[in-house]
Amino acid sequence: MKKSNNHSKEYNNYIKKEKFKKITILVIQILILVGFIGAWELLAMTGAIDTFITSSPSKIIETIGNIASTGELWLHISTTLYESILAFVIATGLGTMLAIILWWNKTLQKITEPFLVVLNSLPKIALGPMIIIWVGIGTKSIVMMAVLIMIIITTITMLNAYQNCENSKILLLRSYGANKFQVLTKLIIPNATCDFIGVLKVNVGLTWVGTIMGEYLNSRAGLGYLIVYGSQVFNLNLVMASTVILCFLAAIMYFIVAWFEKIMKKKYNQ
Amino acid sequence: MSILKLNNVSLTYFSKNGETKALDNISLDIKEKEFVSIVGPSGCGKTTILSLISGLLKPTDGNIEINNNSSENMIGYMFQKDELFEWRTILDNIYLGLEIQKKLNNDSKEYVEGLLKKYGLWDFRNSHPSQISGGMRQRAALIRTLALQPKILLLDEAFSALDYQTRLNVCDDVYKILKEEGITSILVTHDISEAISMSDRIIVLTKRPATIKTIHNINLSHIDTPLKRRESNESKELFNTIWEELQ
Repeated sequence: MKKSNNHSKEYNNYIKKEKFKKITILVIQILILVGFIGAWELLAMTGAIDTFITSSPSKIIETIGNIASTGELWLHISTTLYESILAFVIATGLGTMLAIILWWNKTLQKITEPFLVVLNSLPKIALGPMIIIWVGIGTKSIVMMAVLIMIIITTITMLNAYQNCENSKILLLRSYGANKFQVLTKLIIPNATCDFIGVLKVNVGLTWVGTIMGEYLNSRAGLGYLIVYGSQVFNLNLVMASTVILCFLAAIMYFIVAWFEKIMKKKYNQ
Repeated sequence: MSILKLNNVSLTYFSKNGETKALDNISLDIKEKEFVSIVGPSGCGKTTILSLISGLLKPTDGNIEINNNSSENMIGYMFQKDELFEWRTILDNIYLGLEIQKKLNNDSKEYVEGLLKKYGLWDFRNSHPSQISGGMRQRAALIRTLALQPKILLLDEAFSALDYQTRLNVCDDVYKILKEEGITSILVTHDISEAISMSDRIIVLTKRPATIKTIHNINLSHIDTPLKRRESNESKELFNTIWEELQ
């Protein structure tokens, strides 16, 4: 299709309407955010709500400034960030590898199936105390916790994706004399790209759940630690400030995955 | 000269529910550059014959002789759907078989380039499958198979996923390409007119377990394209005969 400047009036109107819709949505989104923060601040200022319990936007900023000035802010952010990225990479990598192994070996897959199903439905937080006893407190047990939350669902989802490949496509490769490894690399893995991106998106959320939960159970630093510490000394400003920072970090990580998705989709034309 | 021989081939499938005899004592002799079609009631084991010839299945009884004098890539396979990989460009799709057999080199690339130019896909080599028409996709699938320079091409309902209009055009297209490249072809189809319009010989199979019911020699070589052959009186008569045989 060639672009021309001589669009009909109706087309121009249509484009205008679409643009208007897009802008309206964005404006409303900003208004909700600004309105929420503004109302919160206003109610806190007038004393309509008890800032001891609810904190307030200005106090949150102040608190962040305070932790930053002592140099501790970066320590907490980097601790949690390190844990969640490490867990994300380990769980996604290991989970996908497990899925490939199970795809490769049908018998092993049949043997492990009931165990996977049970492990998947088990609430991983229940394993917390056991993990601490086995691997000790600190980063190791936190990462372990997060990995456990992600790995089973990663394996199950990717295995499903690998198995969903059309049989006729496998037959095509076999008619060229392809071996199993070639079927895997030329067809099964690229064919599951969409599902893999889906797994990344789910895991990028779950890894924060895992690390924060791990930090709740045992930690000396990190945003989860700050939240627990803040609630124990009843400093709601600290709890809220940590939560806000967490929101930003999770959003940034999500956008990185979304950007990766865009590149992959362009590459694979999907 | 005979290029492919099936000697008293039988095949039985085994499954949990028991055994099913699919083919019973099939003997065939296919000559070089011949176009043979196989028709039969649905589910009679037509595709099984192709699987046997291509080596994807082994016969339970009897044997298959392939007159192999030079190339190891004797057999190409074309399926009902084009099976192009959406994440690859047309060119990369066509390289697929060469990649798998580790034969992707300058010679084979040049050969593919020639095929693409000859059959009007060169300008679309960097497109993805979803960006070209159904007819072109099937042509790309054919070139993917021809890239391996097979002597025998097996077509398994290769046109039935296309809409009727496209299908008639693609039949003409593929027929022309196969004749030009001098390839022996075996087509499995449920479309009697299609079989008549393309073949030198039609083999009619019985219900499962399939045996050969009749063989029709077709003499329409004075009409040059499958589309025009469909309209001839000879083909209409033959259609009725085969139709009766399949009932």
